[in-house]
Amino acid sequence: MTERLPQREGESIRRDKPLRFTLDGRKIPAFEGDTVGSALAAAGVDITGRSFKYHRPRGLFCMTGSCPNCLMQVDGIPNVRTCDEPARDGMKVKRQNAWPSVDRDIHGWLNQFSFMMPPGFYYKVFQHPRWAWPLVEPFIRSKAGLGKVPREEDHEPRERITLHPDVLVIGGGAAGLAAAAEAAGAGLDTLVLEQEPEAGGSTRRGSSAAEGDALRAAAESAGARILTGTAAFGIFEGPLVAAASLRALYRVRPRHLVVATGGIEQPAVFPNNDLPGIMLSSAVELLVHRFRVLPGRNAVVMTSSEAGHETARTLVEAGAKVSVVDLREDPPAGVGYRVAAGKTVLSASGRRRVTGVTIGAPGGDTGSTVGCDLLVLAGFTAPSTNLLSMSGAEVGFDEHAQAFLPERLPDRVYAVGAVAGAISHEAAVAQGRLAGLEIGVAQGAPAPGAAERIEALREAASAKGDRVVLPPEVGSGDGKQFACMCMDVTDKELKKAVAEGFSSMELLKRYTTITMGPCQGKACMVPSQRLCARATGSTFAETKRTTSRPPWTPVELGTLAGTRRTPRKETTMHDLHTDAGADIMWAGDWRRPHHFTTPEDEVRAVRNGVGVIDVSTLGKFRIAGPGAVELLERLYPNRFADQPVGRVRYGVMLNDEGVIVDDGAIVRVADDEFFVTVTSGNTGALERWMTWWLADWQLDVRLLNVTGAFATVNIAGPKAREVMVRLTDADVSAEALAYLGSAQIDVAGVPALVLRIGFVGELGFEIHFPSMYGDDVWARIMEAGQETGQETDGIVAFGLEAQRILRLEKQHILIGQDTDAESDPYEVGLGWMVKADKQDFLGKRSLADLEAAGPAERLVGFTCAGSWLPPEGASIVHEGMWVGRVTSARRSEAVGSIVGLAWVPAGWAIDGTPFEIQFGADSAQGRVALEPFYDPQGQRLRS
Amino acid sequence: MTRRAKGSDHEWAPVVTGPLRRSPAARSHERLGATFEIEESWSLPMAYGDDEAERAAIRDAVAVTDVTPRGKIDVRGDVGAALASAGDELAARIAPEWALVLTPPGGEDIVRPKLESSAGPHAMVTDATHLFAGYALCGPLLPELLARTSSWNPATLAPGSATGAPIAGVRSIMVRRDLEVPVLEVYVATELARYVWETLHDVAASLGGRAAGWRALRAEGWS
Repeated sequence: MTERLPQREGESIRRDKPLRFTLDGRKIPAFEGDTVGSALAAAGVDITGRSFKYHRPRGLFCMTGSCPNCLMQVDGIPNVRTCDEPARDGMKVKRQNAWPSVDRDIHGWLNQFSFMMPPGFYYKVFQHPRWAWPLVEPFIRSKAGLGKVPREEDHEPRERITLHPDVLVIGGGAAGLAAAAEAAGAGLDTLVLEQEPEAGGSTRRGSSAAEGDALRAAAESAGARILTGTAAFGIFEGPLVAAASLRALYRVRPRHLVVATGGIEQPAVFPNNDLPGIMLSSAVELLVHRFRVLPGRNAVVMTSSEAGHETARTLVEAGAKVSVVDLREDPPAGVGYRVAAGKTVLSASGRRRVTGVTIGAPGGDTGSTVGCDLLVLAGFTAPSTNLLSMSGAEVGFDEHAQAFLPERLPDRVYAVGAVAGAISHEAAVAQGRLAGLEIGVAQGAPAPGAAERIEALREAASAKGDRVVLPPEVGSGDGKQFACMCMDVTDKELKKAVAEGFSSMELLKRYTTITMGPCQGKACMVPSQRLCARATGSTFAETKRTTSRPPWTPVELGTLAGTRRTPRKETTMHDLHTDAGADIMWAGDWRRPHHFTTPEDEVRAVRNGVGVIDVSTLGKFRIAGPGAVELLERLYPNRFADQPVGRVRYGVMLNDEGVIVDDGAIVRVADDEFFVTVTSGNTGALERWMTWWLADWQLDVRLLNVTGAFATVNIAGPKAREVMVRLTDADVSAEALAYLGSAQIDVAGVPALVLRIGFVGELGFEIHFPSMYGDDVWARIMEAGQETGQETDGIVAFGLEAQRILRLEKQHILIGQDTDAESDPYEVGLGWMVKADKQDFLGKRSLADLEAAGPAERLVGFTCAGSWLPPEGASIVHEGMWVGRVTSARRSEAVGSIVGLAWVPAGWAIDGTPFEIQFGADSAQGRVALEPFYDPQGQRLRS
Repeated sequence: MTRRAKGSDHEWAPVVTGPLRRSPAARSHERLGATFEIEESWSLPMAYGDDEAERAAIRDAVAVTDVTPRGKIDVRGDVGAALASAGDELAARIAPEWALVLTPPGGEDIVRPKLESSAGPHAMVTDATHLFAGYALCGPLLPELLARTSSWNPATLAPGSATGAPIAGVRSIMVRRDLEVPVLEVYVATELARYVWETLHDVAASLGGRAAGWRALRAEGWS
């Protein structure tokens, strides 16, 4: 079978454009328009892969991406469905899950030892001895599985695209295209998602391709957009439809959803029903009509409907010898082929490809054997309702159709075509047109004559065909009968699982893994349901399907992840920092300088001269209105009613349980206006927190997060004032701008709010100014700072690490670093801040209880001798028991030892108390120090 | 702190004294070859070297312009009285108790006092010029750009309206101002400005669009 059938109109391949790719190193000729699968069929490749568990040979089966048989590694990407993967020149294709080759797979012996791999295999074996499992597991994993995950990083860009059409049609078959044409014709923005490379659905497979082309042209000319090669794989509330193409993830939020997902041909269950050469009629029709490949010369077609006879005629016309096995007692006579009426295929035989079938009465044990190289299973179609179910539709069993069909649809969701039970092309098109017209009416944009056309279409849309006859649940004879080809689950295994008590589809799924493989139930749901019904003594109708969940079709993880774009926050002075050689680090979602030179040099500069740090990341809020004081009084345990205008107060914010959630400076800038700073990483959460309480308390207050509006720098050190006088004409003396004072003055020619506070324990000026002056103001500060450098090296920019050392020397806490989700003000030594006599504030009642009980732990400073620096989180132990932990520790040049903060039992909060710190094999002795290590009286801060 | 304005390469340009305001994305513009001019103490990215290509992108594809220098005044609370004094300035009503008044560069210093004086005690007027960076997205491919950067449905916003919506995964204020082509002004937090610019520019470029300067944007009728 290395030759193509004669050229004819409607074929997909371009014979004038040959190409080549390799299969396991072997050159395979193909044409543009071929899929990998069709080219392999043309090249006579029978075995396309090995089965998951038993390593049985498998061949092309569905040609529609509905089964696991053609999964291959394509250009390094594993598990690609090659039956619908377009062939490209030079592509490298490798078959999977075999050694040394798929054609000669040494692991085929596993097929003989299936009795050792019963259902629930993993739950039953290798439980004892437990030490053996790590040895066995790698062996098992190497023998079972799919392709190999590529080790190379994937740099292919993937887009995420969100669309909001009026109408989304899932499925570009006849019904979907008809719906799209009507909806678009009514002027609605209409989008069609089609997973195949071409729209047309089942019309592409048979001789009615021209009808499909006409429908597609009508939809497109009406204005519908058709995205081919784009598979919808999930429907979520909204509805939100998720779909994926090769390089994009689509999130579609339509007003109206039309589900036209068609039907999926189902396999029949009989011994050796997985042999290469056994195919669905959809595969045969595609191969013959579109790719001009004859998949077998001596074919048997098993059917119970006209579909099988159509396939038989296709094969006869292509030159094959054909026999039809029809389950019906009075099928139509064949023209050019024989028909066995009232018969079925009891079993198939062959080693590497089907070589014969046994034909007999349904349910019988014996029959006659017929030689063949192709067995076609035709017309056993199940509606593809999974996506519909995800939309919230309810399905129920229809006796006439012998299938589960939609019974109740959510608002604005429509089901048309085979998925809704349409049995003919005409009925499917009528249903599609009906849905499109009804949507136009619902949207207030009816097409001309819509009402009359709707009435006229109803009859055609509801037409029913003959009662469907399904093949027997099982065949007879020797050989495995597969219900699930993905996971190699047989009828016997399902029967055994039911006997063990797993008597529903949901339980069978979890125990045997049916419907959990790559096909996600496309090719195994119906056979499994029917076998479950048979084993439990119930009926097909009574056996519920497993819950439909995304992804209905496979999606690459890279597609789900999309192109990585991580939002990052930068201050307006960021570029100057990088210009200065700063080492930038992530601090929450901010990018901040860790250090500019070395943290030690920067600390020294601040302690002896002057330094400047960019603290624009501080959260900042403007709070104004007649109720502003009341709001702060309730949010904080501090008092603000008596705060003079222009003064700064340090405050901690508590939650209802009295736990510290944040701290910062609160400046009263007017009688009813405050400027509040909070910690950098908490800004968003605190905005929500304050807004929530503001809404609850209904105070006459406006609150605005102005974090980005103000750049903030802190000039700190004994020479800080010398820098300030060079930056402003205002009086910044200790008398005019005292500690905890503030002033609204021009700094570096820019209006600024200057606070006399300091986190690092030195004379400090925290300057807030309009952020987009950042470049010029920073440059001006550095320029002014250099002029103070007669005795020192001038002003030094310092980073976060230096700030951490400096604040630790002062025992200033960092919320979230030194506190946790249970820390209250009494434990951290901030009890002085709590004004219990206030009428009410968040956490007041809890604090009263906590104060009465007394703290069980205390956050204390400590020094530590020796060279070992305890890491954050190091344990504090007593008699071998954990009693506390280190939250921060740094080496301090000013103190001459390691300094830190730690949680210890409250009784140890006495100056000089020794304790043991441990981390792994390291340990050291710490000693409690209750006062700040540096400038304990705060004279430098207040200078 | 002196510099030359309006074509800083020319010696005849007037000398400007005093601090300058720059968009947080200024370095990104420099890397794209932008030339800057000074207006109202702002350094504006005026062009990227090819005015015609920039105008063509606005008309035929999609262009992204950094309009951060626009004056922006945030009004919260009982905004009605304040907005009545906004005059001809664009007042983007984002929510019943929230509006953003947009002015040309420097206009905030003129408009804010008017708004403050007319606002009642139950409104708060804040100069938000430095709070938000702004980008004008213009061109027929604007829907394609939005489809790749936002989950928001632009069809829900009528011309002249404003709303809060996500872009590039962060919060933004969107103001629709259609000219002959669709125009959307997007305002994001200053600290996220460069990240958002890079994202919008990259996606626009992938669609055949590009950065456009103020000169091209003004030439197409934007103000």
